[in-house]
This record gives sequence, C-alpha cells and structure tokens, in this order.
Amino acid sequence: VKTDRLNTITDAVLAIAITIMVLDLRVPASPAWDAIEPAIPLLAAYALAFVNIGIFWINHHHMLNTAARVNGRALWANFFLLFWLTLVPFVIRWIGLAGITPQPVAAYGFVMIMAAIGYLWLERELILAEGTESRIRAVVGSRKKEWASFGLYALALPAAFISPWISIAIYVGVASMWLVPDRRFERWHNLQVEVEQPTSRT
Amino acid sequence: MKTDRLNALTDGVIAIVLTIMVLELKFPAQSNLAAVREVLPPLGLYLLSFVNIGIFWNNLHQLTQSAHRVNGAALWANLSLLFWLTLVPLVIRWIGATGFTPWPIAFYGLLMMCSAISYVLLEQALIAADGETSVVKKALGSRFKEWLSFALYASAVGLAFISPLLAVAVYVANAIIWLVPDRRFEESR
Repeated sequence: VKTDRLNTITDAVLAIAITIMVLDLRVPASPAWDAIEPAIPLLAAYALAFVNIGIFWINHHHMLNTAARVNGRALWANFFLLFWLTLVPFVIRWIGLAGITPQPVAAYGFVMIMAAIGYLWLERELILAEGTESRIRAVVGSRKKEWASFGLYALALPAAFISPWISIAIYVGVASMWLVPDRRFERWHNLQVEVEQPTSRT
Repeated sequence: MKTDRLNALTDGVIAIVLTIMVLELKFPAQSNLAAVREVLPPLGLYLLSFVNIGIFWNNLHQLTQSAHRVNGAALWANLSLLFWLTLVPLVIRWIGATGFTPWPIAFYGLLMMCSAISYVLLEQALIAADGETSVVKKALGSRFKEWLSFALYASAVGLAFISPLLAVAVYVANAIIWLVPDRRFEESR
C-alpha cells in the first residue's frame, strides 16, 4: 500500500489542528496596553503549540518521504499520533481558562508524550513494513533525539506541580532541539537524487 | 523531496483561515442603520483580509509550481507564514470588539509584515533547495515588490498610532499593488 493517503489525512488533520487553536485565543477587552498584556501568555502558548505540531509534521514529512510502503498497523499508529495532536487545541483552551497552572501545563506535557509514543510507534511500523532492508531503519540509527525528548517530557510532567514555568522551559528546550529538521532523511534524500539524476545538482 | 505535502498543508490551513474568519463577525445588534454601521469595521477588515490571504495563496501557488524541491528550511518558512496568517481571524474579532483603534490596527500590520518576511524567507529557501538551476531565482529577479510591501507594512504599524484610518489606507494600497497576479512566473514558463 502506498503512502499518499496516509499523508493526505495527516496533512488535513494537522492543518485543522493548528488553525482552530486561534478560536480559543482571547482578545483584549480594550485597546490599551494594560488589557493587552494579560493576553500575551496564551498567545505565547499558542506559538509553542504551533511550533510543536509543526515539528511533528516536518518529521512526518521527512520520514514518509523515505518510507516505501505502509500497512494497516502503520495507519493505526498514525491515527494514534493524530489523536493526541488533535488534543493540543483542547489543552490550549484549558490554559486559556486556568492560566499557567500545574494541571493544564502537565496535561500539555502528557499530550506531547503520547504523541511522541505515536511517532515512535509509527516509525517502528514503517520499518517493519519495509522488512529487513528497511531504508528508514538505516537512516534513523539509534534515535537518540527521540528518546531524549521523551525523557525530558517525562521529567516536565511532575515538574509542573513544583512550578509550571520549569515545565514550560523544558517544552521550549525540546522544541528548539527539533527546530533543525531531521537531517538524517535529508542526507539520504540528496544521495538518492544524485544516484537517480547525476546531472541535476551540478 | 517534492512540494506536494507543503502545498497540501498550506491549502488546508488557508482554506480554514478564510472560512473561520466569518465566525468572528458579529450581527448588528438591532435592525437600524446605527447598529449596522457598528459592524462595518470588522466586515471591511474581513474583506481586506480575504483579499490579502488570497494574494498570499495566489503567490504561493505560482511560487511552488516553479519550485521542484523543498528542504527543511522551506517547510519552516512556510509554517511561519501560516502561523501569522492564522492570527488574522483574531484581529478581526478584536476590531469587532474595539473598532478601528490603534493597537489592533497596528497588530494587523505586524501580522502582515511578519507574513511578508516569511514569504521572502520561503522564496530564499526554495531557491537554495533547487540549486543553480532554480527557476524561481530566475523568475523573481530583484523582488522589488516584496520589499516595497514589507516597507509599507512596517511604516503602517507606526502610522496606526497616529491615525488608524491612515494605516488602513496603506493596507488597502498594499493589497492593490498585489492584485495583479505575479506575472514573473507566467512569463518564465
């Protein structure tokens, strides 16, 4: 089974997830700086959530570009990932109502952990679907960055109950770690292009 | 890597942004002229925003048709453009609550300015991804119009604090400059 429909549903769901979050943002009641200031934390949370979903999308983009085929199990792993990412707007609304408080900030971390599990599961299923000569397995290697983010999110969850700001600092840290897209796949792709069309990059 | 998924996500986000803006519009509270006049500012900004986002989409359409490859930088530049555009419905809601007042009008200019920068960064990344054979590079030329609109938006942000209506006039002028689709790509094909 080819990868294109998995990509289509992913693009559609994530497009909606990143866009409807704006409906949960609140506008300042009056056009004065005093009224604008309290709206900023939620706006910043929105920016972080946008970046986090963007990271998942870009990594998904790169990984699926390398994947040769998908199977039913990979489709379910992908739906699992999408399920957790659709909960991001929900958590953003909660932060909007409750402010930067332990529970919603921890919930954000929980959603990210589950999404990370979904991503790792998808990666695993794609590798299994490709069999022993999996291109993805060859490209991803030891997956240090995946496990590092996983560990950091796990740390951020309890930290939210000490101070939600510690967790937010961890979330920002993990996000900045992933801002540079997965070069592993880009390197692989460039090699492929050179093999297929040796003249195209001269 | 091909441009198809970049286009799919972009079309999805822009379609939703264009549509949810209408949710931010309010009905006139009563059926008289004074109440109707009150909803005109957000309605006008809705029209302008629809045109502005339409312009971005048209230009993206032309741009990504001429680009053969994407890389990580292009995906990020595009996501950044989408981020600023998703905030447009919020400004319309804000104008609905406060009318044409300096802060929301300046915020609108800021969004457009950041979108314009992101668009230029996307052009840059696509040129880099295609290398020396880049059709985009050849077609774009000096990008005078991009920089002009960036400068206009930047000045309108400041202008909004002197006269919001004057800033709105600059936004309208900026949109008019871009109403004619990007001929550069049509000629280069």
